[in-house]
Amino acid sequence: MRIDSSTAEAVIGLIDADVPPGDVPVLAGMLRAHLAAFEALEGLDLSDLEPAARFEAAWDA
Amino acid sequence: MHELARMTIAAASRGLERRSFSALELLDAVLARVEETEPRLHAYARVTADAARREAAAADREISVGRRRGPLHGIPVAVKDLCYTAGVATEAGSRAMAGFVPSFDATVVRRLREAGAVIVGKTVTHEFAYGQNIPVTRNPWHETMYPGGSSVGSGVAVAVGSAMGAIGTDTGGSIRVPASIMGIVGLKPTFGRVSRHGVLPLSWSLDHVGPLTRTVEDCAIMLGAIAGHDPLDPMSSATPVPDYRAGLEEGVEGLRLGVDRDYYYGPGVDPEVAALVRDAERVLAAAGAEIVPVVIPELAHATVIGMTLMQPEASAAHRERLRRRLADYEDGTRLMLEFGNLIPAAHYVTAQRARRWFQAAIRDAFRRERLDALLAPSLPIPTMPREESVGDFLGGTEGRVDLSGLIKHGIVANVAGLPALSVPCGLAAGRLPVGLQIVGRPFAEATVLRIGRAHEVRTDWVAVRDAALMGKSR
Repeated sequence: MRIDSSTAEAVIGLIDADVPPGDVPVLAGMLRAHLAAFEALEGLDLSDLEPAARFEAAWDA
Repeated sequence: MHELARMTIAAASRGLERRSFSALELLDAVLARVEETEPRLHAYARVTADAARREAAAADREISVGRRRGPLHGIPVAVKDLCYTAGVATEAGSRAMAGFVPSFDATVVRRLREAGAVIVGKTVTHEFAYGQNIPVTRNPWHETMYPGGSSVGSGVAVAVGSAMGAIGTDTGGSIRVPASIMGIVGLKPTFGRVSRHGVLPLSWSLDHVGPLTRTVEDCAIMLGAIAGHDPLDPMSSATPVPDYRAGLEEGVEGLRLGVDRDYYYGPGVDPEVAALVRDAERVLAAAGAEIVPVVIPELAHATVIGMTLMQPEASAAHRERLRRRLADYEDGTRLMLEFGNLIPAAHYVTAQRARRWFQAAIRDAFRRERLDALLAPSLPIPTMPREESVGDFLGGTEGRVDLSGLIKHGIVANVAGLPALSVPCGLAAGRLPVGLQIVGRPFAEATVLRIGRAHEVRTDWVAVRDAALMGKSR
């Protein structure tokens, strides 16, 4: 998903109206960076995987 | 410096048992070291000398009547200022926590006390273990260089002998990073192995608590005291706690140690770091381990999975306090916490699903290659200049979350929940320590400690560090 800066800033204002105005452009940049990085997970086949209700490290190796 | 402060926990414990010196004398030596180093290094947020003297005197009384509790009895240790300490301020490096005094001890602190340890004080942390600030703590190896974080005070205190061991927390590498940079030993245990009850959360599904020490044996001693089920931590495991010292000297003959050169030795890895960690591989191979090249392509997703989990969890953990105390947070922390609110819920859930896929991929690689552990550099670089250790998104309109440089190697074990040990394996640029990371199977802390110990006894990096930071070899 691609999102331009002005759209990102509008979204931030909708989600959290308490964000100091000076932070909004920085957050917009961070959001765009996250969206770009997250694309790496979009192509994974996770079809059989539910999110674990409780994360446990054990495996039966 | 006083010779007693130079001792390992194991050696000091033997001395206390034989009554060669008292717990009070041992504490005084460590407090003298605190006085000697703190004006320059600032490892402690607060030193609780009076309470520590009372605890040491109580330890002496018990030991004198044959009621020795174990190897930590009378040993001076420090605790990261993220852990609740009853009656002692716990401020997490933040103005937003100023003056907060918990009414109870974190389970990890309670267990240290039950083992007879003497709490010297609370160590400096980056704000809430999340801050992007330059820490007040200085690097004793090179004062212009970043000393590690977020358990920065714990790392420095242990390295210079102002504590004999310390507790840290690790959400993306925050025990192993300072351990590597200080040239000491740091262990992030298996998820669920050590209780987080009473430790201020950063990310519930990634947070771990563990020890930083000067030797692997000391690490085994501390882990033995703090590990175990705690009904107050819903993620705590009931898996039995073994004697972590029992097999330490068994060596690595026949162990299979995987190395993924694609992930851990890619672009950005300092050539000296790579060379020193490869030297460590050769040390272990000469001791009888088999070095097994592996490729686990899924590792490349560790940072995006981990950050997509960490950021919303951190924002949820701070949601109420951030609204009340916004102006009391540092700029970098505030921005990170504001940002976590913006990650879509579907992304968070997708990252939780991807984490199971990631964990299964590592499990399958261990099974396929019959691995006992993975070996890797603890960090891709030795460290960085202090002024470069701040988040680089401040003040720019094109901000970015670029923590991956320091957390790429560490966060694998947080996302998978696996035990990971950092042990010193050399000096880059003549005076910057480098760490070897050993990542094991779930609850196989004894194996990673055994591997670390096999490396430690075949090298002289402990003595080199002590000579550099404490005046001369032990």
